[in-house]
Amino acid sequence: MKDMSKINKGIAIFIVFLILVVLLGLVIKSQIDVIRQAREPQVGGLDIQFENGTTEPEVKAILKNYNMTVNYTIDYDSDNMLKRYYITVDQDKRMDIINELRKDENWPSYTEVKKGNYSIIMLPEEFIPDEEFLTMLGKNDLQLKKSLYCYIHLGDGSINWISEKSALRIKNELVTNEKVLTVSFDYVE
Amino acid sequence: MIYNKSGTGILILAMLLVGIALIPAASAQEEKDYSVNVEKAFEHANAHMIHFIATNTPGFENWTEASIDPKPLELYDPTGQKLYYQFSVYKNSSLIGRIDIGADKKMGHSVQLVELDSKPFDATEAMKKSIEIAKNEYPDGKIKSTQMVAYDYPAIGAMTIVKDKTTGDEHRIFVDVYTLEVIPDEPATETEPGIWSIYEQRLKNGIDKNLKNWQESDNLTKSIEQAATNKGVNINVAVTEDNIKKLSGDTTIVADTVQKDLSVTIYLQNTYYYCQPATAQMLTKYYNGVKPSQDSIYQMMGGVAPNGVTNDQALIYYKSSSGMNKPNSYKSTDVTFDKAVSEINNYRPFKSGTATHARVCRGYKQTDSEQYLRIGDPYYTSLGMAYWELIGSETNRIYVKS
Repeated sequence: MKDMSKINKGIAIFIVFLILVVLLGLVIKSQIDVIRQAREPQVGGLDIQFENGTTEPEVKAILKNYNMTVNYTIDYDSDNMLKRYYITVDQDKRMDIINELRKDENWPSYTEVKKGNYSIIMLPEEFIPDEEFLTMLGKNDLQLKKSLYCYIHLGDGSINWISEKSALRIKNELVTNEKVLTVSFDYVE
Repeated sequence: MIYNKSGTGILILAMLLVGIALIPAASAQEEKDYSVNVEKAFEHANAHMIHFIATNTPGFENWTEASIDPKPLELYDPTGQKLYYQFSVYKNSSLIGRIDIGADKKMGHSVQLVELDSKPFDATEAMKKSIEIAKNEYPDGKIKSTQMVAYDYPAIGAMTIVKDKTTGDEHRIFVDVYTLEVIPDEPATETEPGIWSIYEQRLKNGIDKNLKNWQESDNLTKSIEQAATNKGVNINVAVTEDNIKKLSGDTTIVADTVQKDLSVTIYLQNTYYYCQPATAQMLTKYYNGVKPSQDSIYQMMGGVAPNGVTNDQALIYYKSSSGMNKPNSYKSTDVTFDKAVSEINNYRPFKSGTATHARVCRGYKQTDSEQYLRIGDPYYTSLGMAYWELIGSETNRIYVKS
C-alpha cells in the first residue's frame, strides 16, 4: 500500500508538472498573438463595386445597415476606379460554364465571388469583350454586366481613417449583401 | 481493480496532456522545415547576382567583379519571424548594393529585393540605441531580445523587446537604422510611420504557390552554378569581366529573360508623410517634363499636415488640369505582373503602393517564373537609386492615363 501511495503521488506530481508546461505554452502563445495583432495599417476609404443598376438610395440603405464606426460620405458612381465586367452563374453550373469559357484562347483571368446559390465571375479591369466571347456567353444564356463603383470616404474631418482590423470587419459584413460585389481598401500613405 | 481503473485513467490523462504539450513543438518543427539556412541563401545570392549581371539588368552595369560578403545581416519581421538574410555587395572595398534573400521558403522566390548603390548604415549603433532607450523608458524592465527588423517595409531598424516586471506587459522600441530616430510603436497612421508585417503580406500570395516559386529559384540557382562550373568559373568569388562575358553567352543563363526600365528620375520625399506627393512629383516630371514642388502637390491633394493622403485624394492632383493633367488616371487593386508589363511596355510608369507607402514603378524583369519590378522609392533615407523588388509586396497602384 505504501508503494502504491508513492506511485500515485509520483503520477500526481507528474500531471501537475505537465499542466504547468501546458499553461506556460498557452501563456507564451497568447503573448505572441498579442504581438502579432499589435500593428496594422490605416484605411481612409472603401472602394466598393456594386451590382449593375444599384441606385444611390440603395447604396445609402446598404451602408446604413452596417456598423461603420465612423462618419462617412459616399462618392456615388465615382470614376476613380474602373467599373468591372461580370457574369452571374448558378452554383451548380459554374464549373461547366467556366470550363466552357476556358476553351476560348482569349479567356481572361478572373476572380470568383460566391454568393449563396450563385457565383459572380469578375473579369479584369480593362477587359474588352470580343465577338467570340459574347457568342460564347449567348450560347450559355449568360448576361455580361458592368459593375457600379462607389467610394466611401471614412471620417468626419477630425479622424479620417479606421484601423485595417475594423475595415476588415466592415468588409466581411458588406460582402454578404447580394448587391455588393467587391470591397477593397484605400490606405493612408 | 479500482486501482487499475484509476491508474488507466491517469495514464490516458497523462498521455493527453503530453499530446497537448507536444503540439506546439510539432508546429515549431513544421515551421523549421521551411527555413532557409545561411549557406543556401549565400548560394542563391551569388547565382542570382551573376544572373542579373549576365543578363544586362539595368542598374547592374558596374557590378562586374563585385563580391558578396558571406556574413549577412539577419532581418526579422516585427512579429518575430525571420525575414531576410541581407547580403552586402562590395566592389573595391566599397559597398555597392545589398541582396535580400528570403529566410523562409513560404515567402516565395528567394531574391526578395536588390538595392543598388546602397547607403551604409551601422546596425550595431541602432541596436545599441534601442537598448539604451528601452533601459531608460523601462528601468525596471527586463530586456528580452534585440533584433534588426523590417519595421515598415522596406524601411529597417533595430527592435528591442522589453518586459515590464510590474505589469508583465511587453514593449517594443524601434530605432531607424539610418536616422537613428525612434519609431513610435503604434499602428501605421497618417501621422506616423507605422509598423506592419511584410511577411504576412507575402503569405497572401498563397503559401503553396510561394513554396513552388522558391523551388524554382533553387532550380535556377543550381542551373547557373552548373553552367558556371562547365565554363570553369567560380561564382562564389568576384567574377571578372571576361568570365561574365563567358557566362553572358551561355543560353542556360540568359534564356527567357525579358526586361524594360524607363528613365524616371527619383526624387526623395521632403518629409515622412510626403511619399504620395514625391511619387506624383516623379511622375509629373516624367510625363510633363516639369517638377512642381511637393508642397504644392500635397496642397492640391487636400493634404493636412502632418497627415498622409489616400489614393482617392492623390487622384485629385493626377486628374486636375492644373495638376498632372491625366484625367483618366485611376486607382486599382490589380497589382499583377502582367498589368505592370503592359503599362511599362506602353511607356507608362505608375504609382506602386504598399499598405503604408507610395513609390513609382518604372520597370520590370522576368526570368522564367521570377518576376521583379523596378521601384523608385522616395523614402528620404534612401539614396534615390531604384531597387529591384520581387512581385507580391504591393497592395495598390495608380495607373496614369491621359
